[in-house]
Amino acid sequence: MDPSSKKHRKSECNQLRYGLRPIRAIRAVLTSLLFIGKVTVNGEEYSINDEFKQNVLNLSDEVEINEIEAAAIVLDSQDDPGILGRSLLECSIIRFHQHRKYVLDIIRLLIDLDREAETENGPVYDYATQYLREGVFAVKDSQRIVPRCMVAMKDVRAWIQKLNDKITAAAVLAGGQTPELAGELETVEFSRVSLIQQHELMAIIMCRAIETNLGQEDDFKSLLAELKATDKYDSLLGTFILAARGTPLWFASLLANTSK
Amino acid sequence: MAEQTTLIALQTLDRIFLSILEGRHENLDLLRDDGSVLDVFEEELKKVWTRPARSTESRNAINSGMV
Repeated sequence: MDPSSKKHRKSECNQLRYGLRPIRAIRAVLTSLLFIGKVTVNGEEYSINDEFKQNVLNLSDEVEINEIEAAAIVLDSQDDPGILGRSLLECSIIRFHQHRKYVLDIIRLLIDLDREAETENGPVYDYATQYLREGVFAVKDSQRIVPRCMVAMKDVRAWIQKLNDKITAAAVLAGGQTPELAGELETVEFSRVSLIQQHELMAIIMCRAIETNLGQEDDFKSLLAELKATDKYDSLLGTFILAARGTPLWFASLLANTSK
Repeated sequence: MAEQTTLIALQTLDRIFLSILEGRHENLDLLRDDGSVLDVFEEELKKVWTRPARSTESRNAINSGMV
């Protein structure tokens, strides 16, 4: 299959993803007397109530995404509170991170297949290698993969720091004791752990991109600058070293140059 | 039938690639027959690299329901 010829399936895809959603919209109207208006998500019109609206805006603020995107996630999460025993907002935050983690994990699997392609032959290896290079690493009209990874990793690190501050502030408020994490803080902790995993996966992706000669000199200079500015020795620094591992020769030569 | 959501599509694709990696190469046909999960993946990948920013327009749309 040619990975670049998939666009014609777009309408089919939307039908698959959103075909049953109007049922939910009708249910929302029937189950709520707080009906206030309509909103359009991915081409489908939905009626929303105050509670739903508030959850959407809170999710949008909490994970800093567009409000319409947030609405789609809250809509998908509506059955989760009964399963997870958490609020709709918390379930939506968890789902948001699951989306990101699965996307990155899929790329990791493609990278594993791409590595196997170095010693194995067959259509699956050809497919994985082609899709990784054309569908993931090279996105048309977009930034190159290595700087794109670096920017995303920086964003994740700042995000983790924000969550760490939140946990610290909660501990201070609790009077220096270490009570069991309240329900809401558990979701913060879930987000934090998920972000650390996302950071690792991004490092693996960047490493592979560099191994396939998609890195340029400026990328390594940026990577070195980031390493120099590091003031914490934690698991995130470890993933940085992993990313740098893809380019031992480049890295060594740059280190030699910068130490002169 | 379970409702098809973004998460289910991503989990499906993840399982397909995992099974291929484990040696079930015939599962590549699942993507050849229906690549809609790849479309979902590609859309979500864009959002991972750049989170779609909040906007006054979207916020007003949610607040008023006037889209």
